[in-house]
Amino acid sequence: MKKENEKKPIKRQSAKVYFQNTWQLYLMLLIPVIYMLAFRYLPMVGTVIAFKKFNVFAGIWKSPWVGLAHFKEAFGAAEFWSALKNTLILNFGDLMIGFPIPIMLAVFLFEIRNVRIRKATQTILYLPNFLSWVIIAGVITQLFSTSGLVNELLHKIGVSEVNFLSSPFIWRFVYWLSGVWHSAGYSLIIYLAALSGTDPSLGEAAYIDGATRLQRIWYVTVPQIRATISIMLIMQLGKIVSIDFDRPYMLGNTLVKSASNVISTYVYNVGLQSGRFDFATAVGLFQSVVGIVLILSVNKISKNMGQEGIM
Amino acid sequence: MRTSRWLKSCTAAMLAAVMLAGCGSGGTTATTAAAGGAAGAEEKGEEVTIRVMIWDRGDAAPGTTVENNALTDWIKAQMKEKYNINVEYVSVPRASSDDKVNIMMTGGNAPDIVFTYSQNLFNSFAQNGGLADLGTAYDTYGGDIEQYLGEAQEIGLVDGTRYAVMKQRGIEACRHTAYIRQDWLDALGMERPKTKEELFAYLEAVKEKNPGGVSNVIPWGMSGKMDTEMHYVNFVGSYVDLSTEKDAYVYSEQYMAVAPGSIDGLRKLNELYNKGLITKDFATDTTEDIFKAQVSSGNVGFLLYDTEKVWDYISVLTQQEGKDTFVPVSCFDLADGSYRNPFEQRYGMFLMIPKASEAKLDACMKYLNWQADPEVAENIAYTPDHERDELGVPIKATTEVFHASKYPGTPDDYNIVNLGFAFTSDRTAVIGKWNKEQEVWGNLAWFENYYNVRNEGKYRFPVYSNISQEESDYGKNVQDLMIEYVYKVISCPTDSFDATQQAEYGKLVSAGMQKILDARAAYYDSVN
Amino acid sequence: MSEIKSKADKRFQLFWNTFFIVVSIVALIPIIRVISVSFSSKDAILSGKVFLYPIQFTLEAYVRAFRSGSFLSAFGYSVVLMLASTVICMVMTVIAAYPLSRPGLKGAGIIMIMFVLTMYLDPGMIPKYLNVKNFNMIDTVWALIIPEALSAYNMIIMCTAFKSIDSSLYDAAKIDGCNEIQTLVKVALPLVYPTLATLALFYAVGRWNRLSDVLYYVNSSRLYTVQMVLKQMIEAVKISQEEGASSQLVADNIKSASIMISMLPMLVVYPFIQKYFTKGIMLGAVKG
Repeated sequence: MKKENEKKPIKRQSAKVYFQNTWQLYLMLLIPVIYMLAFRYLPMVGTVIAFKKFNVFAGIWKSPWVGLAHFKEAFGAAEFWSALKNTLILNFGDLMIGFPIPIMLAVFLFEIRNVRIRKATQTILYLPNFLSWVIIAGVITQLFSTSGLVNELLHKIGVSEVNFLSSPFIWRFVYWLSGVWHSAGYSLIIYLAALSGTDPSLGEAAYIDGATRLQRIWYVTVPQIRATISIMLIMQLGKIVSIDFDRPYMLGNTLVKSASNVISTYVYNVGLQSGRFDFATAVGLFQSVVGIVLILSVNKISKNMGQEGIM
Repeated sequence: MRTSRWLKSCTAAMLAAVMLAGCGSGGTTATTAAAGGAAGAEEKGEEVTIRVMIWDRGDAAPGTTVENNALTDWIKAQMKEKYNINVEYVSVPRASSDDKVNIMMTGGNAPDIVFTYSQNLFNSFAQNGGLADLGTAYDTYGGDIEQYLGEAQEIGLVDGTRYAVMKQRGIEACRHTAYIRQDWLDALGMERPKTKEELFAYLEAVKEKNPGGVSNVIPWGMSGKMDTEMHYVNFVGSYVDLSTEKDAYVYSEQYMAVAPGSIDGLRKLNELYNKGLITKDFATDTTEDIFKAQVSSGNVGFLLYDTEKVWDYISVLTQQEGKDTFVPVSCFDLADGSYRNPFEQRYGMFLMIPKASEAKLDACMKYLNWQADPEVAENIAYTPDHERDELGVPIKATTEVFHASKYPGTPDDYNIVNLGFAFTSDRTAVIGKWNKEQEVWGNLAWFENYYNVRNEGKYRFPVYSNISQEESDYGKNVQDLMIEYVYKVISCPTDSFDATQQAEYGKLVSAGMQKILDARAAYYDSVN
Repeated sequence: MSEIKSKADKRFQLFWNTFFIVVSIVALIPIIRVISVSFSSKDAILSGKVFLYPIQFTLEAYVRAFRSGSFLSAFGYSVVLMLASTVICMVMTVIAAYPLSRPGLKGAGIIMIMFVLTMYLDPGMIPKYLNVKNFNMIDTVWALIIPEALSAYNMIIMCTAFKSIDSSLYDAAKIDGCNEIQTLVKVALPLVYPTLATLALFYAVGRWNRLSDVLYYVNSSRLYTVQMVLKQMIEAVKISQEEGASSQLVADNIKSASIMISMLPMLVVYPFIQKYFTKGIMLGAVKG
């Protein structure tokens, strides 16, 4: 429907008329563009310290060049590759597990007629987002350690204890599920907002055609928020080599290091802790480049598949 | 709008500071030779304004800020009267203080006096030319510092040039202490262990007989805290024979877990763990919540911990049990039967003056020198209104009392030079102080014993100010990895000990540990 | 929505109502724990007794938090800062997203790419600090508003919302003689209330919780937000290795109380915003 309207005959007009119609739009864009240049792009000039031996007192420009030395150090370190591998594993898990859940929750929550339950659930599910991972880690230890509540319950029903926090493999599930608990509420709001912009008459039309509720949800409701889903997916895919610091650091421990060591903790351990901002910037630059390549590719693929792209 | 008012007042404040600083550019050119006393004591020069760093812990009295309160007023009045120096404070959040100092140094707007506990940070600033050379100013105006804190100053010298004044610690303290349950010893009919063998016998007996009758008996309690080696380093260290001073320096406390002989200690811990004598899965308890709960509810029979932090747990436990519970014990005997109990060094913080503040060097040195006098230090740390008790120990008032007089909640933050108050070297006074502070559960006899145990085997590692490039770059990461190494090696099944130990040790080496140790050895050789 | 009120429908509602009640309870457990800890005594917490309800009930943690010197003034200041910051952020977001959502705007593609790429560019603390310093914003309240005035992520969400407005509505506006700004205000904005509310919430929460810029860009303690003051209070414990002598463990109840206090404004504001994204929008003006 919408795509037909896009091909309006704006282009056939002359430049003068075009600007008459659109100058206000360009004016509106002016301030955000200046902002982006001043506060996002300009500081990027400082990433040049990734190629230098940064001396805090000589400043960025007078510090000596070391070329690709930091990159070589990172790429030559087994710890870096294992960190990268873990980052990808954890992020894919978040995508597989943590991405669909808020969508499903939003869709079914939208069906609830009881307004109080709907509002209360929405509020309650958003609350965990306020807690920092320091707090959450404390709760998780209390619940999932070998002497914790969950294992106690398992004992009572006769199941042998599970090494939630000492087995790298099982720990990943603790990581993924705690992530769902923490941020489902946030994504839920976005999807609910999208759903409240959908057209109910389409759903009614489906019923008249004899669809069941679930069919209506799958064939009518979900497609209406396709754009939102696709955009959220693209943005998350683009960030697949980046990862939060607090979450793996706080949830992890020495016994699961082989799974919890990720790029952000690697940069902290080897770079930031020792004041090696140059090294940290080099790794950060690597992540930025990969992220940009990814987002551009994923966006293109998405458009080629007929879905919405971000740009 | 509020925001533009702030903007204006901030700008005004900055302009004022700049103007005042400009006025005092010459600093103190007048010669010393004041009437008697320590050098430069009463000497007034031209008016100078110095900006001093102060930690902010969010506990300023209501209506005041940490930069402006009754205590700062007193300090400013003293400095103005004695030296014609205006003092301004620049607050730095206590959390992430080092990061903030780093950033301020980068931006070139750090205060005139900054400080840190990190030798790494100090060294990196010094090596990179960011600090002012304190030599002449120290000789001229640092008389009191030399007199009262002289023995702590050596580490502030890098390659012979003085870049920092060192803060001196107060009461001499050991780093870690072992505690054992006296009530369980009594129930078992055992004496306090003096050797490791006796300790092992106790641990086995506890596991077997559960003398306290608790639900979840843990002979030796440990947590998985990832930033400290307190749970094991004294034990492992007792297997290491530091026959030469060189070894003592190279390994020090930081690298004790890989010193020659340490493997035996780790192997023993692994054996204890697999016999169920150490908290199961302790390494997962990174927040220490489980450890704290176990200790405070009485399930733990023995622990090795930061020397005084245990008192909080003892307090809870004793109130519940109503009898003597934990007592300090010294049982990590070396091969020759003696003990080695590492103590804190005499120095604490590094007090530095950025090169950019060189013009104010003399004024800053006078400020530091003024604080070196133990009387002045005491007045600052306990506030000028404080009193001493019958043992000569200053009485520390509560936060409420401080706030009522518009003093900040932590006045001792302003005392940056000398913690060595008069009473700190007096044994009776110190014991009396502890006893008073821990009235709820303590008694004099307990603290007498604690004092003795603490001093048994008193030992200080040799220390130099030099930090190699390798250590600066990789040291922190290697130390973290070492804690990981130890935890893993303790927690693995006994038959995979050797494989795990070698694999993890390999990781340490590839993270740069051998290079660091070699650099330390090389440095030692170069100066001896 | 006129659903056929069949038995299937009743079962559906019952199942999902129960499901969401259970999910909510489970999600609340850690928060209940934080609340319980904040009202418990230090000793009880240390012994690990506290889980779902306070033990040895006491208000001392909250009293201590409120008495913390700068707390009340920091609180008021933080709320004002949050509101001002949110307004600025929302204006920036809307004036960026609306033009980019208009089809056929030349150069929109490039500009959009430019915005999207900023999500992947992070130069690290030092270049950002030097940049803010070069704009003379260090130690001013502007350093807490401007550097984060526009989030590309949020802008994209806003843009998506604008794009879903049927263009026939824009045509109608044009016919009525509206220019772009009037169209934005009269036609577009009313149709995207849910998204506006959502993003305002995200910006507000983001500003309220963000500590890194307060830590690095600000020197005077008068410009500290309440989160900073609370963090300082938590960190007030002396690290015994470094600072020698006896330490006092900062009780967990104080940490928990500070968390509850910092969550409070959000909890108060949230229900008001919530009505904007549970309202359905009647797109009755347009025929499929």
